[in-house]
Amino acid sequence: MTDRAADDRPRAFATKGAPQIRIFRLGNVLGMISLMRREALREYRWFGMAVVGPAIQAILFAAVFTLAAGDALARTGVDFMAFIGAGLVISAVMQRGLETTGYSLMFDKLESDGLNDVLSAPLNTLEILTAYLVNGIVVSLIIGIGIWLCLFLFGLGLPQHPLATLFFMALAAGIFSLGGIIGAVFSAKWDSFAGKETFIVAPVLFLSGTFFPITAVPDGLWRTIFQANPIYYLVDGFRWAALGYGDTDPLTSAGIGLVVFAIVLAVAARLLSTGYRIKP
Amino acid sequence: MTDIIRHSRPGASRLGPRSYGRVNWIGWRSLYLKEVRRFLNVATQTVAAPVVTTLLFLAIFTLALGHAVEVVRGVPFAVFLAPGLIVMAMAQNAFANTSSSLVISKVQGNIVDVLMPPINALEMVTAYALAGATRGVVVGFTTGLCMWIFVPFQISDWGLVLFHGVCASMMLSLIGIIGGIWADKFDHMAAITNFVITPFSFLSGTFYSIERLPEPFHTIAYFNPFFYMIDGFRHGVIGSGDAPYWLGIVVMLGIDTVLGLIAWRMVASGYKLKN
Repeated sequence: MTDRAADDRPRAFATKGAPQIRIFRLGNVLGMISLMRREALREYRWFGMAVVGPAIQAILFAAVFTLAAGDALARTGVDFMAFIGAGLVISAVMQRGLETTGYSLMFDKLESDGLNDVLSAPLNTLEILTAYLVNGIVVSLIIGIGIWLCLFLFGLGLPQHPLATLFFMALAAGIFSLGGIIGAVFSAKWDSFAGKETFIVAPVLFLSGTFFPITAVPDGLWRTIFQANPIYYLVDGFRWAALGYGDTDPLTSAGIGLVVFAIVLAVAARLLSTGYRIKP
Repeated sequence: MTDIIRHSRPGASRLGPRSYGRVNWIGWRSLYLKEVRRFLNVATQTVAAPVVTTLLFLAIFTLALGHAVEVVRGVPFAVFLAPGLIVMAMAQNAFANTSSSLVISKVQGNIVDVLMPPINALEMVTAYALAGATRGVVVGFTTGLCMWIFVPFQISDWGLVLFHGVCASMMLSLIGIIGGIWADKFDHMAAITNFVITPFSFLSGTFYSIERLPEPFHTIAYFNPFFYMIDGFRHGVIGSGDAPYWLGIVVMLGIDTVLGLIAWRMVASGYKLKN
């Protein structure tokens, strides 16, 4: 047995040539694809609940809004269900973006040694981030489109500007995927990540005009606070793309969204490259 | 060995089988306190988080619907909403307490620590159920207090509020025990939450008066125990409800008894707990 192993080894080297250093020219594409595949497979294991949960939640919200105020809202003349529907889709996209990357990283940090596999592989910060980001965006878009289909039942029509809709969905998913990475880096335990979700993300997300127009907020200090929330512009831009109306100019919304994206990207890249709390 | 222990510790001569009366109070108390400390230990997640979530719900629904629906049952929409949201938070947290505790114990295997000691099925069920109900009541009280800052509501009947608060927490706590025993994995628990608990707590009149429901859903609502818990609790706060108040009391007592018996039978027979 040992003899054969000893015999095989030189022969294997002989056929393949001497081991050599791999050189990556345009980034380690193979490595990125491997990491993306790992992330996608991990997501796939939980996919049933990941889709069903938010979908049921969205349908329940839609049903409750219709039952609580359907006729009264019909009198106001605005297609309220479409308004709410768009808010439900984009908030599910954002939440999923955060959870996809955040949970994955938390799991690697706490439950397995998976993080070492990622950090010790020949991938640089940008490659790692790209892999996580692409996976986060793809998963969130699938969830968002799934919920959109469910909400057809409640009168949410096809998007007015399909490409812009995809753009705003992807931008929102991207921002929150990076947010998930940042949150996971800072969280020492599952509890602390869940805490950030409940106490920071949920208020920012749900008070960003997902379910009500900014005009419903009393004028003055409160409205200023609401308008200072960058997520508000993302939601508004998405609503313009989906339904054709919004409070702010869509280009301004897109601009603000891209700036926020650049900031979170920079922060996430900085955290990963310095290895803050993830490298010994 | 026994000699050493006996001589080295004062009072150790009382070593031997411990005896207790009809009820193992020490065991019961230990299990109850273990369950209560389990959630108090992470109070940020188990008490503060539901408060924030519930306040967000209040903000969303008041801002989204406040201008369209001004008055429900003679009170402002926010005041109508507040008791419904409070009891919903109580219910969800009571459920989460018992179900998560049992599923985690089963998955991790330390459920034997509860099954081995001389605690009988009734003691085990009551300890778990009361601890879950305790979390419900703690969450309800905290949420109510925080909500009152934003929506100053008056309580018209404290007796009814307390009765329904405790009974609602108890009901979901027992459902949590039954669900926790039945579930083999966290997925099963997520399925119960997604398909049973959330739909029932959303569609049982938290956000609207069931008078608004078209037939046959209006009649169906009267067969939904979740409706009685929300309606009864709200009745205690705003002073009027969709169902007569005595019916709510009867239904809640009945359902708690039935669920308690089911949970007790499950534990006593060892279903999915002992093999």
